[in-house]
Amino acid sequence: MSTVSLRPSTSARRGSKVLGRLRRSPHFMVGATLAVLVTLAALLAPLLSPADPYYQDYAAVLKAPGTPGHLLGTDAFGRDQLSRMLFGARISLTVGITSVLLGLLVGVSLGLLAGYFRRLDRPIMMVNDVLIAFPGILLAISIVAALGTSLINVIVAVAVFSVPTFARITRGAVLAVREADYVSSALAVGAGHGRILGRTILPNILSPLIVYASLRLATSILTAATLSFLGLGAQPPSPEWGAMINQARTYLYSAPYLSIEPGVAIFVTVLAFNLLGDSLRDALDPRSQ
Amino acid sequence: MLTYSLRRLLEAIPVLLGVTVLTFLILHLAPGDPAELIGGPTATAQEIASIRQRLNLDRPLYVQYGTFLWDLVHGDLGESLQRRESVRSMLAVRLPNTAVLALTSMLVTLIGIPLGVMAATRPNSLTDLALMNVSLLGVSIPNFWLGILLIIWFAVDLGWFPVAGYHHPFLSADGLKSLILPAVTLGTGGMALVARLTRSGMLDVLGQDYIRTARAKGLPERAVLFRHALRNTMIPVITVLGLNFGALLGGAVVTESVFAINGVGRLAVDSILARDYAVVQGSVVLIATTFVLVNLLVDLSYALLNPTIRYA
Repeated sequence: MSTVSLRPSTSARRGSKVLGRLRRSPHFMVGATLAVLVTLAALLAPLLSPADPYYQDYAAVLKAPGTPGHLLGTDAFGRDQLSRMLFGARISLTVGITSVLLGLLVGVSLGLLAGYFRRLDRPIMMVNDVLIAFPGILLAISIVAALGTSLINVIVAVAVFSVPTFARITRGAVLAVREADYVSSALAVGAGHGRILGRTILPNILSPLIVYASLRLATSILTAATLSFLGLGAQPPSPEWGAMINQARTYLYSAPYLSIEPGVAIFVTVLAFNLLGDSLRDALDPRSQ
Repeated sequence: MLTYSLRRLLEAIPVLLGVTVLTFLILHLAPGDPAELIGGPTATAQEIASIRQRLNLDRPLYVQYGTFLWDLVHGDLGESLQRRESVRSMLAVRLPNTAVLALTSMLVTLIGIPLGVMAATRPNSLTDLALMNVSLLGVSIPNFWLGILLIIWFAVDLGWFPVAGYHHPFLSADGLKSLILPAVTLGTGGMALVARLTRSGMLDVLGQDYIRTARAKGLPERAVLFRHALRNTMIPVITVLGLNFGALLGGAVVTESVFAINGVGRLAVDSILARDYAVVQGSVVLIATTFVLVNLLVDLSYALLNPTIRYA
């Protein structure tokens, strides 16, 4: 009983300690600011964009950045680069967040089952080991190869790419708490396996999952942009950042800004979520610094 | 050590089999009929049926997998559906290019070790802060974009390096010049990661009692750092280097496309776009198998460095 009554105040104290550490972390402040800016750009894209991202103005082809009315210049079809970049933020964040949530859902479920039910551990982890044996983005590429090139398939591919790592982290965390007193107590009072997994174990292993989800968001955005850059994801005329860089390759000599600008956007977004993930990890586990 | 090595070797077999099953299934359960694809839009039903028969596509899936595995074990990766060329010979031509790129990038990655040591020996100094912040940028930069930036600056603007492609032989001035930009592009992410890991590992080890003892008995600082501290830091670093080799192989797919290098990765991407499944299958199996084997070697070297692993 005493453990139960102590838990809220202990976790509240821990929460305020974590918040304090985060507030003192310059990495967190920079990461959070950048992430908020990118999210605002995505949400307010229709209001902030000076033009329709798909509108082709053949009187204003390949205008350099700083041209009146086109702050970041125009592409080979006379489309406003700033407008395309703002709408590109929507695509990147949507793909990143959706694929991480999908990967979390499947990966965490598999990890919980593998860690909790000994009989399921070996088969699940064997499949997991096979998925992890695909290096880098090769698994995502293979899935897109099978499903065909489209943004939806990129989300599926990037989610599958995340599943094995989420499963492994969850399983490790479950194994660490499986024998804990509060799990045995829950079993003793007759709680079902589903309730123990969902209500008792899951809340106690959230910290590593939150940290990893944040880092994975960065990787997912990067992977999706890479697939589109290779021509396997979003297709023209979509203003997806990776696809924009791919189309701009023809103009490396005459209009290098077309490659540089969307790259800066990807870089800043990925950096933001990497900084958030790093500082969250440091705040939740100060020994890892 | 022998028992441990054999056990790890045996454990790698189901993973390798799994890789072949997964690659086979991903591509065979994909929507679309490869026979119709090969026959083209003008093929008659009879022609499509004969193609299906020739490629065993009319047999049950497990028979097709059995044939695929049997051929694979005998070094036969099938025939390109588009180019009518053996996949094995297509890969054999491109493999040296990818191997050279991956190995050169690994050298770039290794630069992270001295950088990490430098940062750890001056913790919280300006050098440390600068190195660690730059390494954070290095982890976040999309490598295809880094490649394009390097091309814009060093090939287009300054003209120091070729814009694309490899020059053979590699061990010539032109060959080395053509390798530098792709290797830096591919190795930067790993270098940043290794620098961060070496720094945190070194900081951990430098606080240990045996380092204090080494200093107390008057050993020169260089010997303390390199003979005592770095050697103990290397165990996790080597593991990450092995895992990073996988990222290098995956990243090679992208880097080869950026620099128009005729390698296995670029072949895989081109084949996906051309829906040439036999080539995709061959490339993926080759890259994934190499990765599994490299990880096996890393595990074995890990056991050599840390005896407690062998007896665990």
